[in-house]
Amino acid sequence: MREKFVGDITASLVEPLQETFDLSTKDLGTCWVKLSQGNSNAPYIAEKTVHLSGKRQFIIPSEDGALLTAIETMIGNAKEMVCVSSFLIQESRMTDALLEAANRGVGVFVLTAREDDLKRADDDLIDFEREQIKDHIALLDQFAGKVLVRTSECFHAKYILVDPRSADASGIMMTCNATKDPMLGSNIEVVLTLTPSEVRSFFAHFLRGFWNMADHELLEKGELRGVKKESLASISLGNLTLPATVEDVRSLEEQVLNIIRNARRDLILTAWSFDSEAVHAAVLDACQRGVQVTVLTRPHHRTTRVLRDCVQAGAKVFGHPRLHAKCVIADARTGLVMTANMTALGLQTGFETAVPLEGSALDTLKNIIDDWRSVCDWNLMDQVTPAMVNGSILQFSKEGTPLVSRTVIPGEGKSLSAFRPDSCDKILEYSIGRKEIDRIMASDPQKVFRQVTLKQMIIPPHLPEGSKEEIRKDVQFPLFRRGKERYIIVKTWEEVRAAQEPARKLNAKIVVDM
Amino acid sequence: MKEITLKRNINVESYEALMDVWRSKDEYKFLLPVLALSEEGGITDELVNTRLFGVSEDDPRGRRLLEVMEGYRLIEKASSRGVLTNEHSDHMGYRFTERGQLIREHLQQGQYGGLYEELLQDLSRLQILQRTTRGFLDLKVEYSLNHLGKEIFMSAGGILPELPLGVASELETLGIIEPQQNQSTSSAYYELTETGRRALQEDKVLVPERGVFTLTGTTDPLFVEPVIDCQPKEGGKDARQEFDRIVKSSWNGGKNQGKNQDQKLNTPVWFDKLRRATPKVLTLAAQDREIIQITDIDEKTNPVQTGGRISVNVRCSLRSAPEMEVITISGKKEKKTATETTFNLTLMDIMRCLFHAKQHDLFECGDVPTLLVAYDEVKGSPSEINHMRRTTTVRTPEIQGFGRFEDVTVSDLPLLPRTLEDAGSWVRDCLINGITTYTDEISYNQLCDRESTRFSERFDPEQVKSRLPTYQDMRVIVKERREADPDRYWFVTAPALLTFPEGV
Repeated sequence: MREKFVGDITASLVEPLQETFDLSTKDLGTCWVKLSQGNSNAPYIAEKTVHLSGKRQFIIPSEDGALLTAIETMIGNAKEMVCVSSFLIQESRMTDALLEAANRGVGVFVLTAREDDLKRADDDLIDFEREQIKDHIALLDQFAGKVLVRTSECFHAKYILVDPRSADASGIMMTCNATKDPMLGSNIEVVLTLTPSEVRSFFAHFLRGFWNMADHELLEKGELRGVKKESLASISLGNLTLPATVEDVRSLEEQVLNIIRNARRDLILTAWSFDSEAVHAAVLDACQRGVQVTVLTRPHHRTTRVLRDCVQAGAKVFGHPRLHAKCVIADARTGLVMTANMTALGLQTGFETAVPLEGSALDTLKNIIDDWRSVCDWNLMDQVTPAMVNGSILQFSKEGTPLVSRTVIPGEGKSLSAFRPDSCDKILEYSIGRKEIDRIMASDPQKVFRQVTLKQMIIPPHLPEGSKEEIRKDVQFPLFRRGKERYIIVKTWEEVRAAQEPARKLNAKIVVDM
Repeated sequence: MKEITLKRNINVESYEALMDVWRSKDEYKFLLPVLALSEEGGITDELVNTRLFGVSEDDPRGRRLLEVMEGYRLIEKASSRGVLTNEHSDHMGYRFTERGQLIREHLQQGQYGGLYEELLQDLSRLQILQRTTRGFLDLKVEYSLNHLGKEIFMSAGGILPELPLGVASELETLGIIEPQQNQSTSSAYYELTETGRRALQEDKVLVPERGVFTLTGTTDPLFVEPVIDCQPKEGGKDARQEFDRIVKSSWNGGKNQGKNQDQKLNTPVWFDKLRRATPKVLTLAAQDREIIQITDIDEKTNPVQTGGRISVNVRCSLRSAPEMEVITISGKKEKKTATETTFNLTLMDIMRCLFHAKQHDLFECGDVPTLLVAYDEVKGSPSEINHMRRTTTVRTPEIQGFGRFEDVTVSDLPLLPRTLEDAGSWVRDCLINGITTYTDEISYNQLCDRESTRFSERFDPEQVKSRLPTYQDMRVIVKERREADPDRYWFVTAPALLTFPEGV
């Protein structure tokens, strides 16, 4: 700065003082970093909604209604009974089909949550689903007398079984609830059809929920009665051949952990939420073994708290606000789709089911997940700096508060108010302070600046009006006095420097002439 | 089956007359130890003196007490039985007291006005004086010595004749005569009269009171005794005069004029019978079953209007004889008295009367009256189907020999099916109603076993069971009734469907 101050003072200060600050290396901690500029909250639109793998269909819920059509067709073929489990149910073509089946004499049984259970469910409901609780309750009333509804707060599994006792048994498992928007593709979900043997295991699962776990039932409109836990001698609950969480059965958790622990090359996990300590430990261990771990989930502070360790350990974590599907794939060799999240509720104490996959079915799922990965715009990163980001971030707070949405700005210019010193020698020492940067960032917390340029005009002091010249032989500069103040008049920066010593002795200010 | 209560209001009529009414008075209970001597060797004045009074055996107090008790008809001399009033003392001699001498002088000189009216009335009661009333508006009472009076008070030298025991003791009580000191000390031996035995037995001593009493009676066949209430006419001696005046006015006025001899004919039969049966011990049904004795009913009677209302409740149950309660309602006051009744019909007899048209369908099942019905009669009543009991109201039932009663509700009358077919249909309904929770084939068969024994006292359970639907039949039945009864549809359908199939 000093080298600039040569020659005529007034001429040299025509341009403002300018200083550029580099903030690109500031540590922002753990953040979800937006990878593209698009609208990350837009519904997911799959290019292909039905994938065939042998006899099994993978259906990606979408606006074309392929899922509802498949469900309608399946329920329409029911001859004996339909069993439905879904945490939340909303009136749709599916419920119309259920009532139609009931009217033609098919026994329709539903396991779901009741109003109080739904209100307690903090983490599992997608925000807009909270609005649908009223619809859920109204629908249950429509079911009264026609459909036998039993409830429990843990009935989270989502599946439909048709004639599960017959040779023609059919069914589907969904990662979404039986609510209208998710079944029409508002979220990232996957649905797969079940083989007859899988239907039978699901039926065994359903029977345990119905007879042993339900605590209320709807026999009359508007009245959920307590269920008497009576055991009927002739009721056979069958065998669970597929991994599940039900009563004291933890085979789903075992299966998920086995897949993670046995991963050698790569591991893909997708879920709405993660808080299972066992899964967390197994994923960390996989990272430390050198397994390439990829996690797809929704950006959420609770999930972030668990997954940031995994990121630090090398896992790649991508997010989409509507990612609700729950899958695990290891080494493109083994995997499953399940109704459970990677939580203690889902894997230890809840009511969940899964379909293990291998071979071409697993390849199909892998392709579907790859497609999801391409729309997961958020990437969980640790030790994020503005230099790494060009766009939005969701910053994690160690206090456990919700993620803070911020935008990284590459460069920013700001003009400060003019600097007006009372003596020209002060200009020689002046520079724009760092605290100005802190003040600017505090005034706009949603923004993160990579570089900030500050400009400031410098106005030199002038001799006040009414000053009278004072003759001093020992001072080689014109000297003026006004009141008690003395002023030394200069024209150039060289004179300023020469006048600094006499000014100190006379306790005078160095100014330019009017 | 709950007890049946037959109710009705009863017709009563009340008459007042001068009479002796013997009522229990606690202050006379001191006589009970004397009566108790009959169980310890006999009642004598010696024992009374030595055991009870603690004085010498020849003390006159013992004899005087026994004479009073004899007057109260509690005891009688061992030698005598039956009517006491004509009995004369062989042992007792009396003389006038100083007061008695004064009264004797007044009576000999016809100075009745110099004596208290109360004394004159007492002497009239003892038939010593003749009491005559004269006039209508200005009623006058005149006295004269009758035959017994002349014997006592007109005797020369004041020597008293032998007196009937009751008269002697009353005159002694009035302070007119006293026993002579030089009488023989030989002790009389007494026995209990019927009244005395009852007094000892019931711990009550009936003491006579002469006055105007209102007797209330009924001819209702439910009552053992026609007289159910006896009340003294309020007003004491004034009441007696008032009574005389009313009686007289009724004799002299209107219809009864000149028909004095018919006065008795105007009283009801029960009253005349009572008069003839005196002395008569009665238990007053409407008066807390108080026991009284009535003697000496005067011939003059007067009908009385009673403002109250009397009704009866006859409670008939399985386990005890019919019990009757008399309810007397006077103004807002209601008094209830449990009493004896002639109503002695069994519950079965009553049921046959109540359900006269169905009397052939009534039979005793374990001592309980039970009605046989067809299934069609009960199928519309879930309560009768499930509980096998009927509650119904019978309008103004007539019970043979006891007349009509108010509407009566028969609660929980046991019902049984008339035929095996009825039983089958009935149990089928019970079976459906018995499905109140989830029922699989095993529990359904257990329910069938249980329900088919419902009429085991009448039909073989196996025969009934053979008429019941199978579990598969029941699935069809509940499906057909699903709209009306969704609960049962699920109770049967869910266990049938929601079970893992065998062999899979």
